[in-house]
Amino acid sequence: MMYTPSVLSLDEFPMGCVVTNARRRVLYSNRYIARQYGHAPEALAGCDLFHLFSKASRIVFESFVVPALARDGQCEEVRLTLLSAKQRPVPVVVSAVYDDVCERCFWSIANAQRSEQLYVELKKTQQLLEHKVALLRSLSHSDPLTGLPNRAALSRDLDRRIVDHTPGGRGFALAFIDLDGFKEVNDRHGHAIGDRVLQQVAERLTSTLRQNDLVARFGGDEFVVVVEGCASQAIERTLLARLGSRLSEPFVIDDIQLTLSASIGVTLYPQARALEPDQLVRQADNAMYQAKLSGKNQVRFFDSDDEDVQKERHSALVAVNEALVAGAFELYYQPKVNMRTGEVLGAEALIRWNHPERGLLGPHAFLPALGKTLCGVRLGRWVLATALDQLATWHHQGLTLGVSVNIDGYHLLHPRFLQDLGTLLDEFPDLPRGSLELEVLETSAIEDIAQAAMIINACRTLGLRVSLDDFGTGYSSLSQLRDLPVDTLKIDRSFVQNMLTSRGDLAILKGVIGFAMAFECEVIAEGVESLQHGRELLALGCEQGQGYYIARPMPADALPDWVQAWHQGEFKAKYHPDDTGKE
Amino acid sequence: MLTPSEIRKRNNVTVLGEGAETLVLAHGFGCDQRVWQYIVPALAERYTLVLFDYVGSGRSQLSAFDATRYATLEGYARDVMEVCQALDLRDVHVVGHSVSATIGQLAALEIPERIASQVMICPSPCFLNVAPDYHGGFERADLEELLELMDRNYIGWANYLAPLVMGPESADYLIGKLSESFCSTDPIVAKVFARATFFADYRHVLPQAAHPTLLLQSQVDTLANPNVGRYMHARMARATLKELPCVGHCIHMTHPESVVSEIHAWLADGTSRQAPNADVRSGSV
Repeated sequence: MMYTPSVLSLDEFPMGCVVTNARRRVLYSNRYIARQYGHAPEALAGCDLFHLFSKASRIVFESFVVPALARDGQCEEVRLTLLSAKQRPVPVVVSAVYDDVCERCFWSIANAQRSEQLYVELKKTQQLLEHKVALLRSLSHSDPLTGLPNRAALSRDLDRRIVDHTPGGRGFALAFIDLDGFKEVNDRHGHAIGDRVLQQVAERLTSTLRQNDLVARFGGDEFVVVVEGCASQAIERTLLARLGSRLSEPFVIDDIQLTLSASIGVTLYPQARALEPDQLVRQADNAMYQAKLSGKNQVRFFDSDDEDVQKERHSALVAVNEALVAGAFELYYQPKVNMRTGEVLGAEALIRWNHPERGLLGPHAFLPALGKTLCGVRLGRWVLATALDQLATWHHQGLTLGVSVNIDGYHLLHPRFLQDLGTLLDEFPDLPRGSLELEVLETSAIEDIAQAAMIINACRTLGLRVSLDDFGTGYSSLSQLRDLPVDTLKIDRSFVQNMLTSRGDLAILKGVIGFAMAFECEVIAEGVESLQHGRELLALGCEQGQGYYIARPMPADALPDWVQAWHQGEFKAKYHPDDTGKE
Repeated sequence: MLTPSEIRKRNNVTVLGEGAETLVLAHGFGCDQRVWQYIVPALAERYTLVLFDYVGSGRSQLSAFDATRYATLEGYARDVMEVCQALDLRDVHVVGHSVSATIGQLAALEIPERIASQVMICPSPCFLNVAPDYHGGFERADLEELLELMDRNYIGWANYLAPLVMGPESADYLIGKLSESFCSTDPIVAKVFARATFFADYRHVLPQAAHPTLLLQSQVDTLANPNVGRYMHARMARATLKELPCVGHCIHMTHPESVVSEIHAWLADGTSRQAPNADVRSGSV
C-alpha cells in the first residue's frame, strides 16, 4: 500500500533535516539532529543556523552557499563542519533548497565520515604519488613542459654522436637558440602564457627539423638543436634562418598575439681539435650571445679564432693584474711647453711597464687588451693616484707645474669614476685642482656623449682641467666639440707629423686650430719632432707643443733637472738657434 | 602593459546601463560578477556600470593567473586599476563587496584621480582577531580550517592527481576544464584568493583613505561584524556608516532593494559625500 505523507514523520529519516527562515532562524529541526549531534529541537528553535557550524563553515556558507541559493534557489552537497552540542566537530555534507517564495529554506545535513575518510586516503595517495613522480622525473629524459629531451638527454645524445663519428664521416651542427623578448612575455602575461609559448616553440622547432635531428630544451627559453649530416656553414645557414623565421611568426594564445624572435648561435662538429659535448654547447652559447649583442634575431657562427683571441686577452689581463700588484708599472712624464715663450706648462703622465722578460713596454703593448675591462679601470685608477702623488711631491719641492693624465672613455663613464676621483682628490687638499688635467681618450668610441658631458662638467666643477686627446681622428670630433665642454684640444700627432708634407693634414690642422679658437679652447700640438714643426705651428697660432724635439718622456725624478736645463738655455738653443752666441 | 582590449578580455569586463555617473562593481571572495545580478537592473537605469571578474574568478582568463601577483590584495587592486585605465574611467564610484572594499581602497590610493567615491558593502580590513582590541571575527585556526574545507569541497581525483601525472608546470592544462561548481573557480586559484583575503591585515591603510566612503554594514554578519564597521568608520576621514537591518554577509544578493536605495541616496547626495566623517545613520529598511 502507498503511505500518505500524513502518517510519515521527518523524525524517521536517517539524516538531519532543518528548516530556516530567510533570516537564518531555525523554524524546525528533526530528531536525527538531536540524536546524532545533541541539538534538541527545542534548544535549536529560533536559533541562528550558524549556531550549528564551525566558523570556517560560516565563511564557506557566505562565500559559496548564499550565492548559489540566491542564484539557483538551491545548493547541493557542500562539505561543512558541524559542531555538536558538546562543540565536537563533525564532518557533514549539507544541501539546501528554498521554497518558491524564498521565505523558508530546507536543509539536509548528512554525515560525511566516509567521504572524510576517502579524502584522507586521497591525500595520502597524493603524497605517495608525488614522491614517486619526483623520483621518476629525476631519472627521466624529457622535459615535462614541452615533452622534448631535457639537458641530460642532450648530453647523452651528443656523447653518442661524438663517439659514433668516424674520421672523414659526416659531422653535425649544434645550434643554441634563445628567444628574444621572452622574459617580457612572462612579465606581461604571466608564466602560464609563457609556458604555452614554449610549448609552441617546441612544436615549431620539431616540425621544421628532420627525423635524425634533435631538439632539446636546455632550460628556460633556451633550446638546443642538433642537425645531422652537414658541416658547412652555407647549408646550415639556410636551415637555421628557416628556424629563425619560423620562430618569428606570431604566436596566438587565448586570442593574445605575441611576436618573438630568436638569437641563434651555431657551432660545427668536427673541429680541428677534440671536443667534449659541453664545450660544443658552450661554443654555441657564446655565438648566441654574440648574436644577442649584434642586435638579436639572427644566426651567428662560433669562430674558434675568436676563442683564441679571448683566451689571449684573458691571459693579458691576468698579467696586468699581477704587474699591478708587483708594482711593475711606472709613470714617465713628457713636458709640454709654450713654444713662443719657453714656459714649461706641465707634463703628460705616460704609463710604462717594466716587464721582467720583455723590458720596458709602452702603452700600445698592453692597453688595447684592457679596453672596457675592469682591469683597465683599475689600471686607470692607479695612474690617477700615482700622478697625483707625483704632482704633490713636485709642488712640495717648489716645482709648480701641471700634470695631465690620460683617461679612457670607458673609464670616464665607469659608474664610480667621479666618486673615486673625489676620494683621491681629498687625499691632496693642498694641491691646486687646476694643476691636474684629464686628457680624455678615444672619445669617438664614447657612445653616451650626454653622460660623458655630465662627468666632464662635474670634473671641471671640481676645478680640474679637461682636454680632448687625439683630436681630429674620430669622425664625430666636431659634434663632440659642441657637446663636450673642455679646456683644451690636443691635436693628434698624425696631423702634426705630416703637416710639412701633406696639404690635407695641414688643412685639418688649420681647421682644428680654428675650431679651438671658435670654441674658446686652448690648443696644443702633439708630435713636435723638429724646429720646423714648431715654427709652422707657431705661425698657425698654436703656441703649445709637446714632442720629441722638446723632450722625450722621462722618469719622474729626471723632470726637475730637465726643467732647470730647459730654462737655462735649452729652450733658446732649440727655438732660437740663430741667436746663440749673439748674447 | 596589456592593451585595453586585452584587459577587457582578461577580466571579462562587462559595461551596462547608461548615466553620467560610473560605478565599478567589484565582487568579493568566492564568486564572480554574477553576484551583482540582483542590483544591476535597478542601477543600470541610472548609471553606467562596469562589471568584471578578478583574474582567477568567473569567466576571467585563468591563463593570466599568477600565484605571486595574486598572493596579496595589491595584485587584485591592480586588476581594478587596470580595468579603470583600460576603459579610461574618470570619477568612478567603486562599489566593493567584502574584501573588495579593501581592494578598492588599495586601487584608489594608486589612482586617486580616477576615483570619486567608494561604496563598501560589508567590508572588513582584517578578518582575524588581533589582540588586544580588534575583533575581526576569526582566529588563525578557523582560517586554516577554511582552507581545509575548501580542499574537501573540491574533492576529485583528477584535481589532485592530474597535475602529478601531467607535471607541475602543466597544471594549467586543467584550467578551463573544471566543473562549474563553486562559481567555477579553479581550486588552486580559489585558495590563493582565500589566503590573500582572510590572512591579510590592511587596517593601516584606513587612515590613508582620501575619498568619500559609504560603509554599508549588515547588522548580523559573522564575516564583518558591526564592530568592524565602527572600527573602520572611526579611522576613515570621510566615511559615512550605515547599519542595515539585514542578516548575512551578501546583502547585495539577499537585500538588493536596500543596497540599491542606499547607493541611489549616496550618489544623489553629493553634499553629504563631501562632509567630513558623517555620523552613523540607521538604515531605511
